[in-house]
Amino acid sequence: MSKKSLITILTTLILAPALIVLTWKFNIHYYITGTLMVILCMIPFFISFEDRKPEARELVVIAVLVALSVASRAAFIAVPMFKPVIGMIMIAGFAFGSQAGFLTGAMTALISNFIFGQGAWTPWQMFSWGLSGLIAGFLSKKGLVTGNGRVKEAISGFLIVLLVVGPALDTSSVLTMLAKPTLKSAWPFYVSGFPANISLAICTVLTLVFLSKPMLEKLNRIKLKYGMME
Amino acid sequence: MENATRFSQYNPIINFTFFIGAICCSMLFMHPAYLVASIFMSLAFNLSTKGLKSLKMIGFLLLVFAFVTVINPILNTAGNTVLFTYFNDRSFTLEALTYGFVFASIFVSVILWFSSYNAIMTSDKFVYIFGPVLPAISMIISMVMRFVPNYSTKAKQISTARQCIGLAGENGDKKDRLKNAESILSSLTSWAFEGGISTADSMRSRGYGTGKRTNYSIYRFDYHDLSLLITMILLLGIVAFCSISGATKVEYLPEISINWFDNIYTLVGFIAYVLFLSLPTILNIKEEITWRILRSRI
Repeated sequence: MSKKSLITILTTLILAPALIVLTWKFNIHYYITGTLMVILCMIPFFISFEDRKPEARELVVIAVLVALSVASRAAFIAVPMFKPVIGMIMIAGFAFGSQAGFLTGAMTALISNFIFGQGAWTPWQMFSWGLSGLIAGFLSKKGLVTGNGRVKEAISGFLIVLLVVGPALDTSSVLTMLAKPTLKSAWPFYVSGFPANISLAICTVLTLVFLSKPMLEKLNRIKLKYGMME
Repeated sequence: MENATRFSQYNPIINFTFFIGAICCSMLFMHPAYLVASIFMSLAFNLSTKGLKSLKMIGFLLLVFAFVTVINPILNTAGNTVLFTYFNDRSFTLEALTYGFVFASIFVSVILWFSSYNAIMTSDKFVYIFGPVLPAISMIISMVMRFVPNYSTKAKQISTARQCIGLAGENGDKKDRLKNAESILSSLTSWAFEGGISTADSMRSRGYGTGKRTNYSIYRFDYHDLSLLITMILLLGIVAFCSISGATKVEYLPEISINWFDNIYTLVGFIAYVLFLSLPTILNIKEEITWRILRSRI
């Protein structure tokens, strides 16, 4: 690891607790604290990727994965009920591992919002979509999910959306709308977000059930053919 | 260009700095005068950027405003002045209602700032700013922006080709159409990766990653940008200094207490804040007036 990135990561480690103290001392909007925290959490991922000086092939593979996911979000713009994008990100994670999965998720959120509109939700979306790719990569590395079956993929997708992606976005709306959020005052937001999260989870499951096998065949063939990302 | 307002022609660093400053300040300051200023200036800037199109948002914004105002006192019962009670002693307090107003104002002004942000900060400006800091990530962003339209064209080609040989499943049931979509995606994926790998090899053979990456961009940083940047930093500095000296000190819970304009810091900070937020609007309007005058002379 280079000196520059070591310094950056150490700075984030110092900044995070400092932020909490500042929020507590001065009356800072909780959304600002939360969002800065989320951004601080993402910095090490991006820095370590930059630090590795990725080769052209790695860059292009991630760009293609992101572009396919963004296109999948844009393709269903007329059917707002159907959102295959988390499924696509997870497939990328299954095939190319945690780091590629995280980057695909975070970049898909950022770039598709250039089309759909950036907003206060962007950092939260980047982080939670990135996490879904990261977890997918982790599961496939541990051999828990092979990508060739259907049941395990579907269950993992369902749980990731319900436990990671949905709550993260609900938290972002709680922090923007409530003055002093407590567990007691915030739960209605999580309850009212539940139907939307369930619908997203079902879309993800459908995407994984129908696409993970054919997509992974293609991705694994490419990996084998060019000997990439081993 | 449709949205070529004066402010959008400044260097992207200027645009980005302004938006970060405006959005953070709108969220940080809960002083009522500051809130009113940020709502009005964000609306004025949105109007000057997007024209009458931005008026379409107003109905939606009023709804959001009402929702956030009402949801706060319902979920939060703290505060000393009880307006009325309902559901067996659940109190609806003035302080929580005020907090609702505060958060609704913040929420609405942030929506308006982001609406202008989306009109001004295109992806190439974003890449211009982050290119030197995150070269690999910026490279990915610009590649993706090229790939997405490329893929949708290719997907249409594949679909047309499948129609020609009667495999598009147009007259089939849902299962056929689903199968068709899956085949299109599969061949698109293979094609995308094969093309991507040859792009990568071509980049490598041209020396990608061997030296320091330089960026091509159409933006310059001239003295207009410099003077605006210095003005913005000065104004923000005054706002920050006054705020630390207690200009924006407000308490809403459990009792409302606000520093009004008899406090000198509140007055000075407020003037600096309004000036900062109105800078781009003033620039846009000034440019528009100059342009009108020049045209009327022809």
